[in-house]
Amino acid sequence: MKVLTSMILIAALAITTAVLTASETEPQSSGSEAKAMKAPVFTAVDHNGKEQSLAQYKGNVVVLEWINPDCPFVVRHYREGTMKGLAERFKDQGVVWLAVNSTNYHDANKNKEWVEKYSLGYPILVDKDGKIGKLYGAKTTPHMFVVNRDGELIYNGAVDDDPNGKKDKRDVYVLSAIQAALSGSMPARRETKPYGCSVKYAN
Amino acid sequence: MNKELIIRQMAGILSLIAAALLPCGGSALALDTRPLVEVELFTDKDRLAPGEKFRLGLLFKISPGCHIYWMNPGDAGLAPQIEWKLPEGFHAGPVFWPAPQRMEEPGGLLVNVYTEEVMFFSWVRPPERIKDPSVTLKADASWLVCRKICVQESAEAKLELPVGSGLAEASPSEGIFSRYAARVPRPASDFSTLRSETRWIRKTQPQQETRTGIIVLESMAEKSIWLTGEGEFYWFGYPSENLTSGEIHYDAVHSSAKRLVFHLSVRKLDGASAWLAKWGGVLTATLVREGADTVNYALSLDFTEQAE
Repeated sequence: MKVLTSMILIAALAITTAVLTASETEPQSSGSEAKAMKAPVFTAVDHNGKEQSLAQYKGNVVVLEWINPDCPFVVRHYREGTMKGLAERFKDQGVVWLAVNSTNYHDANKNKEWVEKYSLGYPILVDKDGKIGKLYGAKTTPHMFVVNRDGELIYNGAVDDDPNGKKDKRDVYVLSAIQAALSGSMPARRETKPYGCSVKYAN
Repeated sequence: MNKELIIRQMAGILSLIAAALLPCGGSALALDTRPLVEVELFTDKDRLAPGEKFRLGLLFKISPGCHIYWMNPGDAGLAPQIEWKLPEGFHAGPVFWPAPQRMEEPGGLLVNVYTEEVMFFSWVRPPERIKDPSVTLKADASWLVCRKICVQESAEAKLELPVGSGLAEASPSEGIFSRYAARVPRPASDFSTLRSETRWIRKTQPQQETRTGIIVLESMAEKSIWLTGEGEFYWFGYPSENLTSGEIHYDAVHSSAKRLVFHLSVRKLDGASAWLAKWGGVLTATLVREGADTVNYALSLDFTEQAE
């Protein structure tokens, strides 16, 4: 840990500690009924050089999938057809699937190769500078986000409950989140711990 | 500059590029298919005595620049999986995981890792009677190894041990076990000179999304303990589907030479059912004892629900 950061933290804590120990209370949370936050808006260019923005899909359910073709977790899910299968299954119900590649060394061509290899019906957004990744706090590949028709972020987390890919029966969290979004409700799990390779940000 | 020199320089640059593309900056030879991590099986005895327990460990030798992950990998990654394959009648206890290191990846991602080398081990009790003159012990392991990119690898390791009655001799590899056993987190009560206390700051409502945990370490010895000036202390939360913990902070104001106070912010994932009755993690701290050496502690600590 950097010494300077530690010193700032210690200084900051010295102040908060004094307050905390005095009253022994914590800041009140906003209440038990958690309200979903608005999904951050973005504009990006996809593997075909076409502009994509969250705003243009207003009124649709949007699934954001962080992708990195070099990552073994992504490779496994594409071999198994997880993402493509879900995207195709819900396409007719107005679910828009956008993959985002925040790998700092992957350009449009690298993403295009992946789209062609798996004949994907959805685009991969080129996010080499990691701007959208950081906006959403994307940590892993894959890392999934589901946005409902009102533009609210109702799911943030793992694809499913099987990081090792060895379970006979999986709880596919993103499927539950899509179904909830379509029925205008909230999924049981709104946040799970994503698993996979770290997103390869430049800095 | 002559032509030959330019070509040589070009070749040099090309091999550098090739090396950079390889996961752990390894050899630039295209045909080099060696795994990034090699595993080897060890026992702390070089002979197996029926009914007498021994330690079985799997040593991971990690290529320079690469890392593998702890049981809770952190923001990304995956814990290695180890499965002992033992002859019938052999019983293995839980796997002991040495304390990991904290590493920051670009983008501020924090991961809990091992670099260079690590050993995971279990105590094994063999049956009271063994017919064969020797037994084969095996381990199946799979792991994710990362640096610039990640690779999933797996291997089977095996070891044949002679069986003999009477007290088994210590194996030359016993030193490795002592080294890694010392890095396995233990409760503070295991140390005669240390006492720990953990509690949540009194909660205001049950549905609350975040809590602050307080950790107090007290020196029971006549002499004092201090953190080193650099503040080398880290918190590694045990794996949980419900909770996630932030960084640990040292509370300089409420600490003294014999009493160290830490704060930890813990958050319940959105939609997770409830706070766990028991949750914990590992605190690693480099402490200096008065008139003694620097000691690296890896303490296993639990937070339990307290009655209101």
